[in-house]
Amino acid sequence: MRPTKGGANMKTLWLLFWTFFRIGAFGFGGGYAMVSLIQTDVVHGYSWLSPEEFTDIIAIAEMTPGPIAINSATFVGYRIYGFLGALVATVGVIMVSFALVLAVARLLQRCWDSRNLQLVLSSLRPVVIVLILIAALEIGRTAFLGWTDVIVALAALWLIVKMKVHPILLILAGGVLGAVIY
Amino acid sequence: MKKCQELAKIFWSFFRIGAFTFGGGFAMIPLIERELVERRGWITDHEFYDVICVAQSAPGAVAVNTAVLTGSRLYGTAGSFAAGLGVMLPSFMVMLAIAIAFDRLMSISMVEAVFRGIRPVVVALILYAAYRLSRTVRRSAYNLMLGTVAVFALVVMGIHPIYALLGAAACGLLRAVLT
Repeated sequence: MRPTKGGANMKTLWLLFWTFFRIGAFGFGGGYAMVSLIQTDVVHGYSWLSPEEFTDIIAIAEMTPGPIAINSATFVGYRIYGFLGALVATVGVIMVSFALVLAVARLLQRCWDSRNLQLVLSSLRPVVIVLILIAALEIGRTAFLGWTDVIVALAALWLIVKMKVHPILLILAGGVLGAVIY
Repeated sequence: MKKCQELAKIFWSFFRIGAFTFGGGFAMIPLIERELVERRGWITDHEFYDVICVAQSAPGAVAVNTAVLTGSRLYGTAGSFAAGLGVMLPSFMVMLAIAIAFDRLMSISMVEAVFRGIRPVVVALILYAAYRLSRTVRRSAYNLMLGTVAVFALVVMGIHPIYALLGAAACGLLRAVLT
């Protein structure tokens, strides 16, 4: 979709902004917690990305500097509406946390020791874990084309949990393996 | 004049943080600490701990939240804009370049093969994120119930993740009021 004049394009830009605004507003826990939100809206909801493209973006986001939410926003925004789209989506995704953190910075000099707030935040965690697991399953559907892929994933999981191998090294190893066998 | 210099320094510091922290999120924290606490001496270790605590509690990317908070402490609203812009700009530029080249790159069969090899690793990384988070959650009946209800609502009923998060927040509020 290329930018031209007309109301329909303003609508696309607005939709882009609003979608990433919501993703940013509800992305508690940062990083992979947002994967599920992006997946729901961007891949399943609007089909702005194919499931494979989304998986590849996570890999790219892991290898490039910067937070995954910003990386996806910039990429998807550019895909849908060129440079302007990239700008609108990126601003949208950071807007809520920017405003909130700024407001909080004025009010608080110390950490949020309010018991009530901690109760709310700790209630979010079990749900975020479920969301991340569902995201992993969804991505598994596009990533697992054969038993080799399952074995690679299990081996990678073992290496990162038990051997503390750096994620970027694992991605590089996966890439080399892919180039050799496919 | 001095103000501009200060803001430029803040911008440049966070630009470096944004450019050299791969992996995002929690991988960034030690690097940010080195730059802000050890190299610049802008905030103390104790203050940094507070900043990280708030940055993790608020929604959004931890790195951006940390930048905005630190910038604000150093130089008010102008400082938070300088820091926020600085930390985001590198990933914005890199990602823009990748988005422009993406289709052409993916049509090369070698690149496609490389990404086919990477995809299962991505699944492992996401599972690892869930594993790490699960270690911060107590194994209580309350948490188990929340998780079970979330699975049912999301998988069986197919509700939007935002409603699941809102529901969990409501449970937390209710608990705060009742206990």
